[in-house]
Amino acid sequence: MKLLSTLNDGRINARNLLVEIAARDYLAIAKDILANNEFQRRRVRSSPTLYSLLKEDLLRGCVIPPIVLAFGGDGAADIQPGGEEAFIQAHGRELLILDGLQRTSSMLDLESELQAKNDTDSLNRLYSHVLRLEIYVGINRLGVLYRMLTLNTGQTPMSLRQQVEILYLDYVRVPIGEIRLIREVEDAAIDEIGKYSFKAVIDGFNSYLERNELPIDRYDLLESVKSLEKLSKENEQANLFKDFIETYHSFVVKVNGLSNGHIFDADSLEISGQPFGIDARRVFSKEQSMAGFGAAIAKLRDFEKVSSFDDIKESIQHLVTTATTVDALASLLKRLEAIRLSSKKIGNSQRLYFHFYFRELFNPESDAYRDISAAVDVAYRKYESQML
Amino acid sequence: MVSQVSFDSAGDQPLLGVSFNPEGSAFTMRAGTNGEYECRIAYGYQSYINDSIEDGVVGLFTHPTHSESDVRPVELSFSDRTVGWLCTVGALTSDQHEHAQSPYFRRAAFMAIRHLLTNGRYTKVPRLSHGSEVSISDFFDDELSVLVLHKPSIAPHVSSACAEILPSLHQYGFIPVGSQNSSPMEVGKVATEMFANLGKKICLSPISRDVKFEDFTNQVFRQLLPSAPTPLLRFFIYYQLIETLLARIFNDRQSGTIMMMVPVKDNPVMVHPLIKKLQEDATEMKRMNLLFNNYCGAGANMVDLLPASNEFLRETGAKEKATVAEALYEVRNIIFHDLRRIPEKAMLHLKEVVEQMGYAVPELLIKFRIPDAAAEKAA
Repeated sequence: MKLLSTLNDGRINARNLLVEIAARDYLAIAKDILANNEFQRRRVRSSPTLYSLLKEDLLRGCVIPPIVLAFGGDGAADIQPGGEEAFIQAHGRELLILDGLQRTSSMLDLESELQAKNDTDSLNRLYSHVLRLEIYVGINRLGVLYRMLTLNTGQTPMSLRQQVEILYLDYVRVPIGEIRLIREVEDAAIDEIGKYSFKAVIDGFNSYLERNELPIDRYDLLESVKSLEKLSKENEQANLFKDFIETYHSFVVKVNGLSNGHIFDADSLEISGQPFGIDARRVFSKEQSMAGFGAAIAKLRDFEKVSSFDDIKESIQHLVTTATTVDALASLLKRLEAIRLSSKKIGNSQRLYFHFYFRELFNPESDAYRDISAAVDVAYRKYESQML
Repeated sequence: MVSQVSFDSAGDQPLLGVSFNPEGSAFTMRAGTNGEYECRIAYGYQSYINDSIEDGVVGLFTHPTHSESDVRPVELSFSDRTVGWLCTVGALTSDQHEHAQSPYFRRAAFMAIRHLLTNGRYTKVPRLSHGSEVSISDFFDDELSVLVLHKPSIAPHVSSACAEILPSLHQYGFIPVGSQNSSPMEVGKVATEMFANLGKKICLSPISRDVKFEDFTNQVFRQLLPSAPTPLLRFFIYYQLIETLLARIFNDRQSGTIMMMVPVKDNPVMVHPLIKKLQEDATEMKRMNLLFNNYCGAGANMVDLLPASNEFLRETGAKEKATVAEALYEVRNIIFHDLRRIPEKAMLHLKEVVEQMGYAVPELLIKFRIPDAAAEKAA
């Protein structure tokens, strides 16, 4: 590996290293990256014609555009100038591929193909090929996300959701205080306070970044550009993801405590279908609720009604209810059932309702400010006025 | 004609087929001259019955209130067997309704998705790239309603185009999706309340075989009504269907009277009342009464059309009428011959009349029967 130049990226407060590396060394690092992060393995297959062209080009020694990498882990911020090369070699598996996933996948495919054919000559030609890498070091996660979005303007851009998944997957391995994120593929059940589905949390965080509760996959490029503008306003020093989930968790703990773990059923609620959730924990563990929360808090920030997650945490500690919490939750579940029965797209409608619910609950200018019960009805009136 | 589907950089490609992979719970769409492009369409369920695509009849409709949780078995009026399902596009893959796990619904939903994907007439422009993973919602609006019928169970009463049951669906507010209705007609409360009050299933009635003008009916319910923006134009179109039924009645009455004339043609005393009968049958009011009373019978329930028509007549200064036939005929006379007499306020009542006609006219088409000659003579 040869360091060619170092530039400072003032926007995201990071260093950008341009290095040359033999394909053999890069492919070893790339295998680690893909083994370490399943979301980076979710590749988009290029057309067979394009793939065979790239393969031929690589074997003929063509120069491919630089591949852009970054350290997404928390330790990368501490790299000292001059220590970059050693750090990269020691922590290669912590790198993330920001741009060049398809090129990397194609090179790995080609390597496997040549190994299977025992074509040593071609394999050596591939290995000796020199690649250029751009590596961001000392970058925080939001900075990585910002660069991911700005770099992904090609024909098959990754969705924001996929990029967020790539970036925050390590939180699945390391708990955040008493919070544990569970992936769908794990056997672990989401059966107690503090356990959340990784997918649902990512959905909620996406909604925060997008300022919109709808599922991210439906978004078009224009929306990505808009989110880029919003991201540029965030303080790059803050760990937004951690703040987001910790704040949400404190809300769940508070409401669950106030409701004393009360269990609801269809008969007592006098509804025809199954309740949206049978207790406070389950109601607020779903992606509809987290997406609504994310979008609502982001909007309140944009409108300067709250300035940080700390404001929300403060409100959570002072939540009240005009009815009992159990009655408030029963009312919430009835509203959600009414939405289920009338909506043309249930999931999206429930997200919208939760968006209004959290907006009312945490907006200091709302009549339902900090009132768990009043927010249920005010939010429903807003929902009705929007949908009817 | 081969359907086309667009894969980003490659542009429009011929659609080669849609298959199902149960392990991945997804459909695979293949396109390109040699099938070089493919994408996966998530389904979410593993069980499936690979019926022949020819065994399904699938139609898309708009409806203002049909919700994702509202999934209904479909019956035809002459049989109490379930012959299909009516649900929204979103409900095909949703778990938010009571039939989500029903093997019968799953079989129909599977057929519907395969049919819709293969058909190629998507309501959205899907953004596809080779190897991408998408959903049925990328091809069709979730809010649209899907009717999926089991073809062997509905033949020969209902054809693949569903033309025979379009009027029945129209009664409940379902408007076919097509190129003509880029801005679909407004569906009123009469139809949506009718649909809401149906219960847990929907029973559809094909139009009568005595109607004999299925092509025109199909054109009216598929194209003309959906693209008619005003109550005035819709009244005109609905009334064209009534006119056509009146023409059928005249033909029937005329041929019956002529048959009666043949044996007495040399007897002026006997012929005279028959000529008078012919003259009476030629008047539209007489045939309107015959249509509502004799040719459609008391079963045609359209009680709300009378007060709606009388409201309109009152606003225009005309006399109220005692029967639906008389009232509707008088509304027709004012609109066709005296449009300038209609005050603005009466137009609001015309909207109500037209909403009621949205139920009544299909009912006439369904109930219309040429009376048995012997029975009529006895009457």
